[in-house]
Amino acid sequence: MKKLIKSVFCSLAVIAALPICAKELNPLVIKETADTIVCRDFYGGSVTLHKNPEKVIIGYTSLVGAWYCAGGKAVAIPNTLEMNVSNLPKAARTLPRVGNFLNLNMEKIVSMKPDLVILSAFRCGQGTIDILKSSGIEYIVVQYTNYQEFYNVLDLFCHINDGSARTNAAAVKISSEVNKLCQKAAKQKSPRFISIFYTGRGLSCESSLANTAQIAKMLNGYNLIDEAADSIRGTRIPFSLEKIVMDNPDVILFTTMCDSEAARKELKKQVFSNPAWQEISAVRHNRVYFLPNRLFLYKANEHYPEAFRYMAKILYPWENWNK
Amino acid sequence: MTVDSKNNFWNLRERASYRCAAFVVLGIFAVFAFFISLRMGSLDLSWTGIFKALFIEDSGINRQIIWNIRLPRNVVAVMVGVCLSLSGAILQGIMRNPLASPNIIGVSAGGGLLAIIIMIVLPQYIVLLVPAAFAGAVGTTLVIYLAAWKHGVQPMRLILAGVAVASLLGACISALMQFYPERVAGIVSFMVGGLSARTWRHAAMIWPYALLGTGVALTGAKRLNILALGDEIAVSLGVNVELTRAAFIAVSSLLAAAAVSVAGLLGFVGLIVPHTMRLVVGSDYRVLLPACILFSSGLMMLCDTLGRMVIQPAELPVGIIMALLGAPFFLYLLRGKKHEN
Repeated sequence: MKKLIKSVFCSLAVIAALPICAKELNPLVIKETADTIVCRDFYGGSVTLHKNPEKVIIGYTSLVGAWYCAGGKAVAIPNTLEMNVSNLPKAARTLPRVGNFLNLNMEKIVSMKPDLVILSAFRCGQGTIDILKSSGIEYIVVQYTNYQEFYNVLDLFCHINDGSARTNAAAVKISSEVNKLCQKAAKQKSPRFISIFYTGRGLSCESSLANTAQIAKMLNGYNLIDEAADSIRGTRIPFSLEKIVMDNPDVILFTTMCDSEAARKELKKQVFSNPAWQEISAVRHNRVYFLPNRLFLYKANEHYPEAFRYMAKILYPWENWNK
Repeated sequence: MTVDSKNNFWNLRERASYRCAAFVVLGIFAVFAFFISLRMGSLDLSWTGIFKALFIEDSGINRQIIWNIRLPRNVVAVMVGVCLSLSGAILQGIMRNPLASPNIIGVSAGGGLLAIIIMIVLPQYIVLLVPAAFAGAVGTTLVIYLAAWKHGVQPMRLILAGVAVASLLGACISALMQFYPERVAGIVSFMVGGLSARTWRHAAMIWPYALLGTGVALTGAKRLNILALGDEIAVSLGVNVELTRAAFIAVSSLLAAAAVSVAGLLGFVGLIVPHTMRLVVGSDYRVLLPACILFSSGLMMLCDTLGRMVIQPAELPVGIIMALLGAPFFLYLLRGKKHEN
């Protein structure tokens, strides 16, 4: 009898876990063995890599944090703006540089004889890939623009380091904190929001494929441009100001290129000098927020829980999000 | 009256009637474009609703959208179109080159470079964006003029200097994009050129320069006709060629600078409009410039409306629409017309 109950219980547990497992299957990992992993790169092709590479060169600054989170180490990274160095993991800050990510120094990379080169699809040219192929250097091209894509890339990096996001301590910490915040937000009434990228030259609205908008959506926000964005499939869409006024969002989120408080104040003044904005509920109730670049314009990487918490405080200011 | 002079007399009369008719049509076109662009948008308002929003209501969404979103955007579109078309027409006249336009000779690139420096290198000074673009465009004109100067300025030297300076500025822009790649997203809309979120504040910034430039251009139209005949003929007719040319270059750059500072690197307006109007009203600047004013106003408003409506509520920048129209027209010019040397 005990055996029967146990086997029924285990079967039920397996059946219950199946949808979760299916959801959590990483589209970037195709197959793996003890020593190698076959992964899908950004272009849809598959690449076979050796696990646990020792000499890794990273060709895109935003991937450095994710790689180190996954338990990896690098021997070189691309040039980084002075003000962004503090966002790098401590161990990576003084690594040798291999040029600007738009124009990597391939001679230096090849001469270092790395085991693996990690590139971003954002600006990786076919020429770079050809040189690595002809030099016999393993490479992988990845890209992420939002949290869900970041998590898949992080998981891929964990697999390359012979683990997974479910067993890697740093990855588990990130996902569990984010999930906790999302579950708490799911109990709240969904605010209608718009996420705007403003340059002083015009505004674009972010679809839920973009970083900021996806974070807000995962926290139970309703993105007003999702319907329109469906047919366009872009992350940032030049959007009609009329539609923004008509849709009357509860919350407006701004990301801009400038980070200084004084410049933002001026920008806010510039934007809202148009009286049309005063018709919007978010403006009337002072629920317009200029978001910090560190967490929302650039890739947050291991700081994603901080980004989610920041967003939760904006969307649901009456709740305590510090626990 | 001889038979020949009788024919000439009728030709002149016919031509004058034709031009009057052309102006009436252009005027109707501009007015039609204005009303269409006021009517079309995400908010579907009837003509009665638009009338009420403009003249009766003083608050509410309809009023805000018509008065503070559509109307200022139309006004800015008109002024930008006028500035760029007049700038292009003037440059084509003084340089005697059909390819001359603010984009080709680097004036727009100068404004663009300083604006891009602000946007990606010094974003904390974003409020200086418009004055910086203006200063860049005017400064570039000065550099081009000085570079082309050699015992006076020849049109060919001017245009070649302009092309060289435009290439140099383009290279500087590309270099900035290389060094600040993570900030490139912020300048894309500027480089295409658009009128999104243009307000009465932008209209207030541009109108003094548009008015001044338009006034000077219209009053100097006769001199432009003389300059177009060649330097020797102009001198023989008592025109101070160097001074006149310098003055018109200054006016042209003022107009282009004003447009670039507000609308970004909008291409083809300075090229398409003057050439199209030459086909309609001829090359006499006394009628060409007013025709450019009317046609460019209507064209800009219509193209902006098309950009707002084609994938609404998302928008295509007007610069893209203009490029889609301008490229085929440019090819037509290259293949269809015979140009004088």
